Amino acid sequence: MSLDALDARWKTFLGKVEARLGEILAEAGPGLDELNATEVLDPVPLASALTEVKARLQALSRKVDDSWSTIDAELDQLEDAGSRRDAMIRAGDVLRERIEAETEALELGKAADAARALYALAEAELDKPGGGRKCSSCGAPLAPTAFDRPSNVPCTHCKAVNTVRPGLATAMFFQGGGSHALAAEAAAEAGKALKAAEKRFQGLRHPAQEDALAFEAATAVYWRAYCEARGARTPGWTSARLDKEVKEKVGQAMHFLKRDAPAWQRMSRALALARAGDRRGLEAWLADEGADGSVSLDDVLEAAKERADKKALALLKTLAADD
Amino acid sequence: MTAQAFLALWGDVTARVAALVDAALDVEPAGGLSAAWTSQLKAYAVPALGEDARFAAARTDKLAKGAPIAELTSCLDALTKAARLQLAQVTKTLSPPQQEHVHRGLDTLTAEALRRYRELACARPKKMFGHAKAVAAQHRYDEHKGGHSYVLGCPTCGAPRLADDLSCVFCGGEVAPR
Repeated sequence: MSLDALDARWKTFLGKVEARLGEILAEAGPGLDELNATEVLDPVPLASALTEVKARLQALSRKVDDSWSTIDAELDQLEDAGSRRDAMIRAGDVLRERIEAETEALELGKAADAARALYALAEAELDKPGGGRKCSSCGAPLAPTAFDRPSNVPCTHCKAVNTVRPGLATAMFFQGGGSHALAAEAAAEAGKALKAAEKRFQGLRHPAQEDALAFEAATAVYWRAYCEARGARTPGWTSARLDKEVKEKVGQAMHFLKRDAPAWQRMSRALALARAGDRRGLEAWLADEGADGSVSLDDVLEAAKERADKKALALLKTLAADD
Repeated sequence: MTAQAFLALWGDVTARVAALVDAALDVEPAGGLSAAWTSQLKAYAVPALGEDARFAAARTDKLAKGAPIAELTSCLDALTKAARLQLAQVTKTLSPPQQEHVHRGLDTLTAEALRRYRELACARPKKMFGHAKAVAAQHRYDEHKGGHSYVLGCPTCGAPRLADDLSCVFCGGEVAPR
């Protein structure tokens, strides 16, 4: 089969997959809305429906992979595939990424819709003095101070200590996934930026300190957006608690990565020297740091290439040519 | 003609029909072209429809998967024609009504194969949320909707709990659900 024919076949196939994606989303949206309108106290229906949708969308993504394997094998038979092959790979990647993004957006959006419906039920439960609780010993009204979780409330009349439990919607919203879903939705844009930063960072063969800092910053922005949204609805989330939560989340994200911090710092230093055009400094640094084989001129050259760092490349290419 | 020869031939025909339908059904997306289907088309000397024509045919036939019905029909026609010739050799000793019966059987087999193919290839996946909707309709937690309060009591002296800790302020016993 000719390159044109294979290209056309691939495009037609991707078009079919895209159409199927549209069909699945068109069926899933109203179906999930209907579920949310029917029941939100029970999280099982929405969770199982989302699992079903995700399974179908993942199967679509797999189809793109499988079909590419077939097309790729046929392209191997052609000599002049070159840049057309790259463009075909990119087209498949774009569609796969779109499927992934649509899956996440659907899950986030519908979970947040369920949370909003749950919050409305929780508000109805709370829309009574004391949440409508009465002392189970003498019947006097109680005034619980915590409404989002179980608490001990002494009756002002008979002194009996009542264990007061919030309504199911209230408990589900605050102690279950409700407040999380709304916070995740509020932080969605920061989440996309974090994903892009993570992809970039993880894609680097030779990450440097500034790359790690950029990833860490994106992580902090996401968790701050998430925690601020969550804290706005959750009792007890003071600014100190919020700062602590963000710090812990960022710490968890970076904990294992930081084992590579010495390597990041080494690469930062090498790139800085190359960027500054300091040939003597870079040579001395390579002789010193590279003595144990942990870093070489080739590594620094690759690092500059993957960043398209023209300034650093100018000196590094000269050094490599002279080497 | 021996019964064994007829049965062997008939078995071969049905196996070829089944292989043909299976290969056509395995084509995905609908109107596509798989390696197995291409070899079936070659085996029956049926030219494959063009790229646009085959997807257009799949849309017209409302296929959810599988090769275009026109291609399968052509293959089945070719198979029937070849089978008739082969069967003629072994059915010539039969009476005309018996021969007619065999030929009708062949037509029925291919017609039924095509009908079944259409049914399977056009079947749309079941609605996604059947199970979820059934569970949602149960409203399993409605009875737990409202919050409630309760007071633990001393099983020894019957006094209500009057302190945060779980011992009775009167007799020192451990308070418990009443």
